[in-house]
Amino acid sequence: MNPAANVVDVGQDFTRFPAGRTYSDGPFCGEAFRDQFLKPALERRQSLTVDLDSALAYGSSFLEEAFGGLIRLGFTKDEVLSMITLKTSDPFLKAEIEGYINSAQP
Amino acid sequence: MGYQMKIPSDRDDVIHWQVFHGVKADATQGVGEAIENLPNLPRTQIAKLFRSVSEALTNVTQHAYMKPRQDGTGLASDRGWWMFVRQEPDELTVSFCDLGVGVPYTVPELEKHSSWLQTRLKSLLRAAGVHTHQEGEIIQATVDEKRSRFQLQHRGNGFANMVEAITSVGNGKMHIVSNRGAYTFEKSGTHEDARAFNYSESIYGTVIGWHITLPKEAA
Repeated sequence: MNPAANVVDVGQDFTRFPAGRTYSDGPFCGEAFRDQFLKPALERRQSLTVDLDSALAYGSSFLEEAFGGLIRLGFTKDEVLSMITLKTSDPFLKAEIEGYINSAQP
Repeated sequence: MGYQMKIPSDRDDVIHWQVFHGVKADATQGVGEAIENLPNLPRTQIAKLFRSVSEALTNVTQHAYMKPRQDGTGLASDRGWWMFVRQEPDELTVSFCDLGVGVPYTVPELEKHSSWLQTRLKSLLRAAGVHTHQEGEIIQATVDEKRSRFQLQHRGNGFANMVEAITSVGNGKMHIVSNRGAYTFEKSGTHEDARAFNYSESIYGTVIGWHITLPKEAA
């Protein structure tokens, strides 16, 4: 992770092969990514760019728990959408993640 | 699966399989690299195949072993999964299996918590002319429901993503065999065909397979 630029590169800083929703699923699950990178940035009120393209692909449960899970932790949709920037060449991936954020219930 | 074959096989269709086994939904222990390094498959299709396998891994750890197996054998005590990969010149096969309670059991159990989805599942089964919950139709309804983009609160659409590994290629086939039911999705050019099947005997587990016909120029 490049803390000066507030950028996390998923493939370099976490894993190229994400899988699973919660810690009980496995070590590179959505909950772990959320707790290691997304939640601390939001708690510090720091904007964060998430570079998604260096991981091979993402399962739906991973994405929902990592990003939608922030809403269940108490962050508002406006906070999440305004402070986290998704960097990807795949517009469907960006739309999918935004969908999880928008449909998650506090 | 614990069985040791005493006679080594030299058959081409036996020795050319890569085999992976695990308990967690952890693709960093060989599964991810095996998919990533498949030759003759474009990067976008490799990504969709990995996404499919990631969904299958997560289904195992989240749902497959939610109850003991119903066959009374006491097998599958390690709650594991197995994945088999084989690339022939003209076809790629990835099979993923578990010895859990099966999709026809887990889906109705999960849907007890959603009256909307329960109603929707019954409606889909009725539309298919099924008035009892035959297991093949339960699997098909689950895939179709997920493909319609419905998301059960914070649940993802894993089965739909598994099918996308086939819809994204020119020709291919996916099957889900679980307990006494099966679902197949086949794509040949622009033609797509999805079917449900039912069997008299249960396999007591789930096998998900992807068969992708490789383009001639890649083969």
